[in-house]
Amino acid sequence: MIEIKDLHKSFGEQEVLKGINLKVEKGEVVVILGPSGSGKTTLLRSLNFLERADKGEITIGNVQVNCKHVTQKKILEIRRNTAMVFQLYNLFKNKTALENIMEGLIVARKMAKEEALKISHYYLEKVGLKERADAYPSQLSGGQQQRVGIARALALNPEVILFDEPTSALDPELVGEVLSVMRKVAKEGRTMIVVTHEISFARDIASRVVFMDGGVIVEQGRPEEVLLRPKEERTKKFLKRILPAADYSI
Amino acid sequence: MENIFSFSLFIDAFPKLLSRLDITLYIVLIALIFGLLIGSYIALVRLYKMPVLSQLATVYVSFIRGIPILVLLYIVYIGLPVLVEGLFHVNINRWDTLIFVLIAYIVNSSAFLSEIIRSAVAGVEVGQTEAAYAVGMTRWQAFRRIVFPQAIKIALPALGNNIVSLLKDTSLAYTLGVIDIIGVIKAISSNTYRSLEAYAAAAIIFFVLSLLLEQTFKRLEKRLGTKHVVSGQE
Repeated sequence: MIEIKDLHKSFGEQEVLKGINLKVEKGEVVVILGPSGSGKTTLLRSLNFLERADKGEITIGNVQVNCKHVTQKKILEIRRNTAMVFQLYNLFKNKTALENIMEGLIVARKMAKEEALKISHYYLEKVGLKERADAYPSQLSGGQQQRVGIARALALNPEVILFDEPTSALDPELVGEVLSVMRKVAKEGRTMIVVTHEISFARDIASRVVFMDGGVIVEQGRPEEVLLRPKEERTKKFLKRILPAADYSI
Repeated sequence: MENIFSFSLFIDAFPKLLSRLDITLYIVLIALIFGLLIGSYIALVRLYKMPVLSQLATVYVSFIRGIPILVLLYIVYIGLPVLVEGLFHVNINRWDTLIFVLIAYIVNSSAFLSEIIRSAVAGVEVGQTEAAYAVGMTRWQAFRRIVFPQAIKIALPALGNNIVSLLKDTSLAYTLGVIDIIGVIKAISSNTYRSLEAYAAAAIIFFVLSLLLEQTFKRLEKRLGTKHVVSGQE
């Protein structure tokens, strides 16, 4: 279970997160929507301390931290309860696809090599890239890289997988393969928090949609409620702006 | 013709010069190894912006890079014993001259190498470190396993150039009385009253060594290059 209490974060003068409260149950797929600059990516990155929130409390699995007084050791514990899929994939460029998945298992989780190898092969096959095990990231397409990125996250078997706009950097024709892998992952009951602009994914897969604007959560609920019958004016405006385009692409 | 350039002297010079090549290579090797160690440390201090140390490192690097190696050699040779005597009341005047030469070259190359290392590490995308953190690596693990191997590849061409200049810079060690290749030329010329032949031989030796180094680095770059492409994204 993940719980975020009163999370605040400023970059200099600008307050990006103005007191976020959010609870995510095990197996939930939470999609965070919102205009750019609404703080959704910052929220996601605060959860594994790639950004350091100024104030608030984060609980992920059995680790609880107060962001004001957090030690390096706590940060490491939190990170070992999470995994992240990045917008720009961020595969380790000096490692093959297979090694990318193994790396965290061996180095951070101290797993024996044979076991890590078995797990890595398993997840590489799961994302449909069994044949590309020995390819370096530079030899893979964007979609393939992102699928390895997802496999890398899955293999760690974390409490939650954080997806930071996983399809935004992809060519349109490659978005589908990544989304279909994400759908598969969601159906397996993994806990996911996804920042995305893919309304179709939110509608079909999310157990809850969270709409953020200006550093606060404006509205949240089941996808059909938030997407089809939004209560808040800001949500309506946002959806009106992006929905036609999203519908068109399906 | 013999009066202008004696081929027999030229040929004779080679074995004499080569007999001292080990000193030259020794200086290069020691300056390189310790220069890399100290240079890496300086680079990390500056990259992680450690308070006080980082400012000191910046001053050190720009100061050392700003003075000619010849001046640095004399400052170390004359100044270090005075400093050590003053601080620890130990007399190091009797130390082998080679030790002073080595210290001067280590100091010199640590400053230059730290800049190469610093820009190479900074050249590795932030996303690589973030991904390493995200899978649960510590700072040190992320650096050692992900950032450093990529930085080496970026640093390689500059590193090769630096070693070639270091090799040529060692030709000033003789000024303190170390008998390296140039030191031998001095001895030959005072015996035969001729030095052009020996200098010509030295030129060829340095040229061949530089060429070998260049080729080695080219091959190294190529090998790392086929293994993984660091720059660029699809």
